[in-house]
Amino acid sequence: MLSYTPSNMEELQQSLSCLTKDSKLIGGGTDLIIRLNMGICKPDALCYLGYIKELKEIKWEGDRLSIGAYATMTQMQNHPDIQKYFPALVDAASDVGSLQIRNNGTIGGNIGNASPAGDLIPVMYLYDAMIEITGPEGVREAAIDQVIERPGRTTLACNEAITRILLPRPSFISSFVKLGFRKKVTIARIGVALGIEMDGDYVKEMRFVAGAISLKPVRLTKAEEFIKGKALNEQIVMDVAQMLSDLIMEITPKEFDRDYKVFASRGVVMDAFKRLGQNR
Amino acid sequence: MKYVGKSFPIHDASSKAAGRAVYAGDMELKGMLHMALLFSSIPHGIVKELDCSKALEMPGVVDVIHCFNTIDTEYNQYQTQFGQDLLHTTRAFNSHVRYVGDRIAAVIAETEEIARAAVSQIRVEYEELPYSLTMEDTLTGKIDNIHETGAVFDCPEVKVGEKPEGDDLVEIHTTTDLSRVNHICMETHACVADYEPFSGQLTVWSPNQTVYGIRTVLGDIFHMDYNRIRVIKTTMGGSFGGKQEWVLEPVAAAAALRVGRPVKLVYNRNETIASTYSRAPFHFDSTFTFQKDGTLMGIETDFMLDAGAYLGNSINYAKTIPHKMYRAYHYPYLRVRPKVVLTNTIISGAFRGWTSPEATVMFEHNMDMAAKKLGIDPVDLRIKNVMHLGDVDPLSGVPIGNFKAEEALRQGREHFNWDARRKEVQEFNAGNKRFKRGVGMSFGAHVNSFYPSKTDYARVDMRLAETGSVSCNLTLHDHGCGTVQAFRIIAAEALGIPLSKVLVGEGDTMYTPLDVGCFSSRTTYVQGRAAVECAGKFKERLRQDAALLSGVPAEELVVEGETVHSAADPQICYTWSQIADQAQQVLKHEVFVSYEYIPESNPGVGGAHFAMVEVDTYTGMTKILDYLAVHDIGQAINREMCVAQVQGAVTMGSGAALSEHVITRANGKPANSLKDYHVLNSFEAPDVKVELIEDGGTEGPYGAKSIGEVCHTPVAAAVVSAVNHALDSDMDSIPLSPDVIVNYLREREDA
Amino acid sequence: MKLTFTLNGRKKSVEAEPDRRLIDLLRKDLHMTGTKEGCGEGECGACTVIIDGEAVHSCLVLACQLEGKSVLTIEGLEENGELSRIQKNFVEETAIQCGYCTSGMIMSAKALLMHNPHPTEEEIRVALSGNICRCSGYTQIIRAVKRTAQEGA
Repeated sequence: MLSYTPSNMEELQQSLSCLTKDSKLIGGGTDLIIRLNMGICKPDALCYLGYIKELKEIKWEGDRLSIGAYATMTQMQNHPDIQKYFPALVDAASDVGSLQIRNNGTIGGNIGNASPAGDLIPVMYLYDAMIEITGPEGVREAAIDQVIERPGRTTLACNEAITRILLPRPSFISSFVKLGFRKKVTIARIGVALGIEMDGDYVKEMRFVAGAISLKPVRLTKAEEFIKGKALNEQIVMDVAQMLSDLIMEITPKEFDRDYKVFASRGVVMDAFKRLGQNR
Repeated sequence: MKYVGKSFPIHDASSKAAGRAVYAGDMELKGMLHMALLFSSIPHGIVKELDCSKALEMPGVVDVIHCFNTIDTEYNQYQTQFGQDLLHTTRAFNSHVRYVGDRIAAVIAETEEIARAAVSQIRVEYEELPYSLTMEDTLTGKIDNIHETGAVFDCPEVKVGEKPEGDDLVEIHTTTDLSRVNHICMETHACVADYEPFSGQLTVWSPNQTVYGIRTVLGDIFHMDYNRIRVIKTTMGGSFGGKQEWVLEPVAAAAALRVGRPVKLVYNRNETIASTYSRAPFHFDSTFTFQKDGTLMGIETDFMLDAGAYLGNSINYAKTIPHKMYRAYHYPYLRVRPKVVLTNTIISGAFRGWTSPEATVMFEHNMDMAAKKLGIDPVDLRIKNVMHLGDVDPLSGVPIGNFKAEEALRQGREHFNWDARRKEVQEFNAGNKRFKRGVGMSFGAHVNSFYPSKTDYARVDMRLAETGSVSCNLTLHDHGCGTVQAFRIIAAEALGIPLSKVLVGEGDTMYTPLDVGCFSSRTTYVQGRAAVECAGKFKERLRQDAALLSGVPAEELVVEGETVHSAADPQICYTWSQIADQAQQVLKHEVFVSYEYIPESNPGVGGAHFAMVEVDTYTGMTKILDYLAVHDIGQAINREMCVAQVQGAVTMGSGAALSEHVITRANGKPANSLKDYHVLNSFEAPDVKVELIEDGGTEGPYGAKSIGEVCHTPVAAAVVSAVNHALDSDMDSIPLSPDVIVNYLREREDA
Repeated sequence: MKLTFTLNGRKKSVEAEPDRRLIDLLRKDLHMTGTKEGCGEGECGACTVIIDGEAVHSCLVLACQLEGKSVLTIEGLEENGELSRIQKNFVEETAIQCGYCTSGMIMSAKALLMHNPHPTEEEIRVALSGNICRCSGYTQIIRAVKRTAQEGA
C-alpha cells in the first residue's frame, strides 16, 4: 500500500494530486482503522495529515476562529477560546467516545466521515461553519451543509482534503447535548446543538440543530420561529421539545429507533436548555 | 488464623501488572502457524460448493480445512465427561449451516493477516433454507429440519407435592423474558494446538475450565487415545462460564493434526460474540400461590429456553432450573415444565451462576409483585419464606445446612436503611416530575459443588522440596479471580508454613490429577477442603518420617511451623528441609502424600442484595445510586478478592438488568460489536458495599462456602426490583433498557 | 516503509507496512505482548498505550502515523527490574484479577496522572470510562489510582 505523509501544505497538495477514488485521507483514524482492520475498506493509498503543523493550530483569523482539521477533540475541549466562545463545541468534543478516542480523533475526521451520529456535525451547523478544502490546485471554502452529502459521504473530490474549519464568532450562547445508550462512551441517538441570543428576558433568536435523527443534521425551524420574543420557561422548553418530537415522528425512519427518539426528545431538549444556562 | 480471611493480591498479579503474564494469544512456538475461520453469513442453509482455490494460491497459505475435507464426527461442545449422555449435533465444520457464525472452513497460514485475507478469498455457494430467529417462530414448525433430532425438546416435568387448594389463597401470575447476554471476557477466545506426528502427541493450550473435559471431547472427535492428548490450561482473561465449552479447541486441534505443526487460533471480539456462545434468552410463565399472610404455598412455572442453533448445554441448563428454585425458599408445591427450543441464532451455553440468576429474576419479580398485592413489605415476605438450618432441599434431599438467609436479609435491611429509604424515595418522587427513585431488593442462592447430582471429588498431592517448600499438585483452573491464591492461602494455613512456601500450578492433563473441572462453584468448597485434609495427612507423614529418622515414637512428635520436634525434648528437632533431605537419603522416598476428598454436603449459600436507582422518565436511562450486597459466605478465604468479585458481579448483573443484550437483526446477523453491546463502564458502575456473614459451620475449608457465582445470582433481580419500585411498575422484559422503559411509559401514558 | 520512533525511551527503526496497526507492530513484530487486544474498535481500552503523553488505543494507530513519535507501553514502566509505583499499587490494592484489562487500565491511569496529578474520583472515573474491566466493579482500580496520586508518583 502507498502512503503519503506530507509535512507541509505544499507537500499536501502534491500528495493530494496522487490520490485516487480508492485512496483514503487519515487524521486520527479512529473510524477508518476499524474499517481497514475488518477488511471492509481496502484503499490503494493512505494520506496522513498529522505531520502538518498548521493543521493542528487553533487561532483567530479576524472574526473567525480557525481550527486545523487535525485538531483533536481533547485539544479543542481544552482550548480557552473555544471554551469561551464555542461551548457547544466543547460539549460535543468532550462527549465523543472515550478519552483515548478524544486524544486521537480529529474535527476533520469527524466531519469527513459524515456520520449521521457524528457529534461535531450538528455543532458545525449551529455555528455556520465554513470548511476550508484544499485540493491540488488550491484552496476553497464551502459551507458545512455543502460539504455533508449523505451518511458516510462528503461532496469532496477524492483529491481534496478538509484542512481547516472556520467558525464565525457567534453572538449567541450555545450548548450541545447528546443522548446515547449510556452516559459515557456512547454513540448519539439524538444530538441537540442549541444557540440562543437573548434580548433582556426575551429570546431574540434561537438556533436549534438536531443530529442523528435523519441523514443529515436538521434545523428545527418551527421552534426557532415559535420561540422568538418569548421568555424562557419550562413550558416553552416543553413546547420546543414537542416540536422536536413531531419532527422526529415525521422524518426519522422507524428502524432508526424512531419511537424511542420521539419520546426521549423532551429529555434531551430540557438538558440542552439546562446546559445552555451552565454555559452562559 | 494467619492467612485465611486476610487479603492478598492474586498469585500472578505482579506478572499481570508488568504485562509479562502469557495468555494463549500471546504464545509463540517454533514453527507456529496461524489460522482464521470462515463463518456462515446466512442463518440457515446448505453449503453446496466451496471454492478454496484462490485462497490456496496465496503466498503464505499452508492449507484450508473445511466441512468437506475434515473429520466429521458429531459432538457436543458442552461435553466434559466420558460417555456423558448428550445429543451430538455439531461438527468442527458444518456444511449444513444453522446460524450466522457457523464454522465452515479455516485457513492455516504463516501469519494471522494472511489467514484472514485468504478467508475472504473463499467462495461459498449456499442453498438457503427458511430460518427462525425466535422461539415463537420455531414453534410454528418452520425449522423442524434443523437437526435430525428436531427443533423442540420438552423436558420431563418436575413436580414436588400437590397443588395447594383453598379459598384463602392468592395467586400471582408473572411472565419474565430474559435476553441473550454475552460474557464479554476481556480476553477473547484463543487456543494453540500442536501435533507431533511421529510421537502421535496432540498438545492443546487454552484458557478453559476443564483440561480433562477437553481431552475427552478431543479424544472422542479424533478417535485418539486420551493419553495421547495433553491439555494445558493457560492464564485466563476471564470466563464467567464463557470458557467452559469447547469452541476453538476442536478446530485448532483439527488444524494441528492436519499440518503437524503448532497452530494458533484467536477470535476477535466480533467472532467471540457471534460464534462462541451466549446465555440463552428465556421466557417464563409463572404462577405463585400464597396464603394471605405471605406464606408461599406453591409455584408453577412453564418456561422456554432458546438454545440457539445447536444443542450445547441447553437441555441440561433447562433441567437445572427447578433445582435452583429450592436453594433459598421452602414451599410445599412445585411444578416446572421446561421446554428447549432451537433457533437460527447464536448458540446458548453456560453463564456465571448456571441458571441461578435466571431463576432468581423470575422468582424475585414474582415475590415483589406478591408483596405489593398482599401489602407485605418485600423483605418481610422473603424472611417469611426462606430456608433455615434444619430445612432440606426437597428435590435433592440434601440438608440446607448452616444457611444464613434470614440474617443476611435482616442485616441488609438495617444497613441499607431500607425502611427509611423506601419512604424517602416516595417523597422524592412526589416532588419530582422527571426523575423517579426506587429502592428494591432480592435474595438469591446457589450451590457449592455438584453434590449430589453428579460425581464430585478432588485429589490433591503435596510434595516437599529439600528447601522446605511444599508443591501442591491438583487440577485448578483459575479464571482470573484468584483460585490459585485462595488455594495457597488454605494450604499455607493448614500446613502452618509461610504463603511463599506453598506452590500451586494449574490443570495439565499430563501431570495433574483427573478432575471434573472448575464448575458449579466447587473449587473452594471441594478442592479447598481436599487441601485441608491433604495438609493434615502431609503433616502426619512428616511426623512418621521424623519418627523413623529419630527413633522417637510418632505420638511424641509435634509438627509446628516448619519443624517437627519432640514434645519432651526440644533438642530432637528436624526442619522440614532436613526431613526432605533425609527421607531421600535414609528412608529412600520423597515426602509425598495424596488425598482424595469426596464431598457429602452442599449447604445453602446466598446473598441479599439491595439497590437504589434513579430513572429518568424522559429518556428511560437508569442510574444506580447505591447498592449493598450481604453474603452468607461461611468464611472468606481471600477477603478483598471476595469483595472485588461481589462488586464485579454487581456491575455485570446490573449490565444484564439495564443494558446488555445481543441483538439479532432480521437477516439473522447479530450485533456483535462492543459498540452495540453495552457493559457498564467505570463512570456508570455503582459504588457497591459488600458485607460478609462469616460464621463457618460448613464442611468447606475453614467453614467456607462459595462466592463467585452466588454473588451474581441476586443482582439483576435487585436492580429490576428497584426500577419497578421507582416507576410503580411491573416490567419484566429484561434488560430494562431505555427503550423498554420508554416503551412501558409510553403505553402507560397512552392508557 | 521505514519507520523511526521512540519506544519506551529507546529509538526504534522498523520496516512496516503503512497500514500496520501499532498493536500488531508491538505484539507480532516486536514480540511485546503486554499490550492486549480486546475489541479492535476502540471500545474496551485493553490496548491503551501512551503516545506523546496521551492515552490512545494502539489498535487505532497505524505505522504511517507514528514517525518521530514517542510510544510508552506497559513494558516501559518497570524501573530497574522493579514494578513502578502505579503497577505496585494495582497489585497491592488487589486491583488485578484476570489481568486482561490491566495493561490498558494502568496506561490510562498513568496518562491521567501525568496530566492531572491529583484527580478527583469523578475525574478518575471519566478518564477510565474507556477501559472496561469485567471482573471487578472498578473499586480497587480507582483506589489504586487514588493511592498513586497521594503518593505523588
